Amino acid sequence: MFNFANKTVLVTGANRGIGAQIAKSFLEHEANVVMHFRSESDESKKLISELRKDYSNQLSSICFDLSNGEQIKNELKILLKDNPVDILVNNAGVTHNMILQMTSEDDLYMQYEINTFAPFRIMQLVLRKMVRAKQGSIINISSSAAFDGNQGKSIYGGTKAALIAMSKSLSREVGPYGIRVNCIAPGITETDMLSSMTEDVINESINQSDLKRSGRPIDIANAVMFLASEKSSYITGQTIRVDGGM
Amino acid sequence: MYIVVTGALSGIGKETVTHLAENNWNVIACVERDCSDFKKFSNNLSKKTSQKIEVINFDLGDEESIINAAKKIKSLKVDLKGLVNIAGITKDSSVLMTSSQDLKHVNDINFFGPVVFTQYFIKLTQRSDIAKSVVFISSISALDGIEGMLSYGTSKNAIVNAARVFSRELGDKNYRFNVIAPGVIDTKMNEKVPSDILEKRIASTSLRRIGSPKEVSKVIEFLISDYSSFITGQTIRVDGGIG
Repeated sequence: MFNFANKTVLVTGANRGIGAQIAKSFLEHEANVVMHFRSESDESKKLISELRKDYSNQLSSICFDLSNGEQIKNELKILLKDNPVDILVNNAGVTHNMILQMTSEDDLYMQYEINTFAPFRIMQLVLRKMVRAKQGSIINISSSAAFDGNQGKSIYGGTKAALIAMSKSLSREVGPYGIRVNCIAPGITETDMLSSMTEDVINESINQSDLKRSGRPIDIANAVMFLASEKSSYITGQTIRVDGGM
Repeated sequence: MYIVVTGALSGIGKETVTHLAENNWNVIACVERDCSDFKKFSNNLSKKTSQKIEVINFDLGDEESIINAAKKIKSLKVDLKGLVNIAGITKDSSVLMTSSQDLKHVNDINFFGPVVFTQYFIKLTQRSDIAKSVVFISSISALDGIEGMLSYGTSKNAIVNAARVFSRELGDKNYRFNVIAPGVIDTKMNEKVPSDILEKRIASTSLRRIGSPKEVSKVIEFLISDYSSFITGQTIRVDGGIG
């Protein structure tokens, strides 16, 4: 279905969950993958050394703190100096489930910083090269919370809705250069992020979905590969919900 | 495994039959009338791809004909993986010039026919263990409200809701239902659209170009495959960024 030979993919937040699976799926389909981590950790080192066994020639990593604009700029400039980025997957995100009345301003700013402002900064830098190359595909990982107004997700949902609006406008701006920009909105997906929700809420969501099951990181990775590939060559400015029908 | 494709005679349908066969699917190609040219095409495609292509004829506007088609498909005794509802007609006219007959006829072919045929597809496959996927071809006119497309747009809008309900009811029974809403695609359907309007629509896409039937077929291939196994009840615009 997919082949990404000679394509370079940058995946943010690749240390675990959906991000790690996206990186792995692209590696399995022959892409060169730059895995982004916040910092080198035992977790990231272990993951890299496992993946290197099979994909040593395709794999590299980059570290920066998404809440630090200067760091993003400096590290990406170094990366982009010698490498093209054909496909960008803005996956990294944080959530703090909390009712609006209890949400601190620090939490508010932090979620927007990581989920909305960091993708903005990364896209601005990566696009300089994509526009020159007159090709590229950007996939932003949003969330079903951007649409559904879940309790406790007033801020998180807002950050992810902002990402969708940003992607749509951007798709119109860079479409003439042959660059496509789309979003994926995962629903309930089996990752550590689920621990921020109670079991009752998770089960209720699953029971209300058409497929009556939760998603796996690979379900999201497959949809990301579709939007990154030439299979979706006439799709831009769209958000695909990968949520089992919520 | 087989994919059933309606509207296989031309345009997106014919391209989809080709694309699916090229990607290792067997196809049951549905066309309204027996046609020697199409048989020749399907024989050649079958030889070229080493996939099986069965051709069946039926009229989506006639329930008897749909029932007979379902019987024929059943008699093939093959594993069915998916159904792609592509067949459709358009009769563009301003709202005041649209007759109720035209409105009914377009809805018969674009809405009632595919819904009834999908019901039979489910009856044929509900006991199989295969994860099934059904794709409906709608249109951006169903979502955007385009002048002159009252009949076509309403019929294609109805199919969006139908797919959603199918998905709700059958999602936990190993079926997925999704909709593709193509924008301006390079097919014969554009022949009657005045060229200045067509140019304007193309200019309004983010990618600044018309789409090819192949670009729709590739999305169909993804939605039929298990790569999209957690996507259901969705409508995906394949429009180069009009909306």
